[in-house]
Amino acid sequence: MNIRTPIDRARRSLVRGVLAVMVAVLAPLKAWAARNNVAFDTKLLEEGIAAIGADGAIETDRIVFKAPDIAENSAIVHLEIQSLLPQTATIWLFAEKNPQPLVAQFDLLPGLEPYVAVRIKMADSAFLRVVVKAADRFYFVRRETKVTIGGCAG
Amino acid sequence: MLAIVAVGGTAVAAPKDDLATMRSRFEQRFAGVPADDYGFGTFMLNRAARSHYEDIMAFPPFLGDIERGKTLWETRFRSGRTYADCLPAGGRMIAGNYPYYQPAEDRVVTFEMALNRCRAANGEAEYRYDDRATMGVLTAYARSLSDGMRMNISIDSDGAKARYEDGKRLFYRRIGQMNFSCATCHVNNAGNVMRMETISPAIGQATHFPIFRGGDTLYTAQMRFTRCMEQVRAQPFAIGGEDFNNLEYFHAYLSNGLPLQASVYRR
Amino acid sequence: MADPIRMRITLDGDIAIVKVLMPHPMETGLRKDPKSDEMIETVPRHFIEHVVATHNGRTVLDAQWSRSVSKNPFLEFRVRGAKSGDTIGVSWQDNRGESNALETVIK
Repeated sequence: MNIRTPIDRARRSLVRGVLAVMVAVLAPLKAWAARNNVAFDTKLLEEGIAAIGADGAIETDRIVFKAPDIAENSAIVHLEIQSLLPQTATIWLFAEKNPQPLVAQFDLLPGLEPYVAVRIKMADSAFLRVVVKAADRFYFVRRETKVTIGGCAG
Repeated sequence: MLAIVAVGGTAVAAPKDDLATMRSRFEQRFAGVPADDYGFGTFMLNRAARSHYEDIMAFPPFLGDIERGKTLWETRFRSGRTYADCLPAGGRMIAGNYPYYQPAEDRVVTFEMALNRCRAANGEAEYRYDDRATMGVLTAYARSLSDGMRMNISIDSDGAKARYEDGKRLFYRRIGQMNFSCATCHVNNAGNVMRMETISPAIGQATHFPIFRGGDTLYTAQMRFTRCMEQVRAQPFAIGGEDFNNLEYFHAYLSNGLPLQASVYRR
Repeated sequence: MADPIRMRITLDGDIAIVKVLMPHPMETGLRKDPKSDEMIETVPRHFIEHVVATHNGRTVLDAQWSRSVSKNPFLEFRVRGAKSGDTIGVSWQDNRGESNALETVIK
């Protein structure tokens, strides 16, 4: 494991600004993986957790989860997730009070740092939960984020 | 804290005094906030919100709109000329001089009017001031060419002073069913929370338009004024009309000395 | 025609920090019912379901999304063992079968 990237480094290195150039628009990739529809469709967090096989997940401080205490705008909540767990294979993100709590599943293949950042909508103040599968075991961390107005219209 | 150097060398005393009074009020209300942070609006008051703002601005969702504005900016008029040929200094580092008072016409000229005048002078139809898809994105890009310039509104004649005074009158006039003025919220209640929103101070507001509310909906300054008037249940003035132009003149003067940055995310 | 995907890559040693913006409505279908004040589904859902990222053609990230991801989705990921001249690709497919893709060379 090569864990040497603090979460705030991205912002600093952006200033150094090695910009990339666009070369081509490719045809979409064909090998789409199967979607866990049960996990994505359920309205209950517990069922979603069960559907990914993570009901025995252990709470850990080895997942760094940056989420706001109060969402500035519930339609665009910026989240950063970094796993410090060796052999991190999959990261799931749940928003407990959303109509379907499972927001995203990230399968990490060899060559990817165990880090993702994404912006999500939140229907209501809720615990956000990150579940990580690492070395075939499940771990989780959760954080409460408050919203003033729900961000799901649109 | 707001040790902003007076800019412009104006001979008329009153606007300077107005601004000094407002600055000293905010200095007391927001002790310790650096002067240049006023352009961040309420994000200057809350570390977490500011951090969120910076996360969004690192790769803002409205980049496509800015790029559409850049395309409009670079597209040649039928005359073969461009906005850059028409505006002072190729349109760079100038937005902080607008609105300005044009003595020959005895009226205030906004930056958006200057863009439309380029169009008219080159045989093109003017854009509507309330059209997000044309004037909105064009000004979003064009103003970004002045990022870092310090606001430099000049009130240097009796005519200019008269327009400034008219804008000031509108700023302080209570209107609508709620009987609010601009100042009720953005001077007297700046920093307070009203309807779950922290209210931004009037100083600094003019530095960063257009804004993208929610990350995707463009508002020019005058479109935002319209929204304020609707919220206090008043009949909004016409966008691009003389009332809003004079109000914008006064309002922009309040941000004199502060750095411009277009376009930005707002809640 | 959908707006193109936008990608910015910064190299930090041998790690490529990739930030991506994918213009898309990410329509949840939900609107507030003026009568009940509840969120009800009134327009068709339209959202990106699947995102794949590649490094020199090899898949490094395979993501499934719900409609809860924000409009004009932002995604950041970091690729190890990257260097100038490598390519990073991103493609998405939405619930209507529409798709878009972009490949970028690291400068």
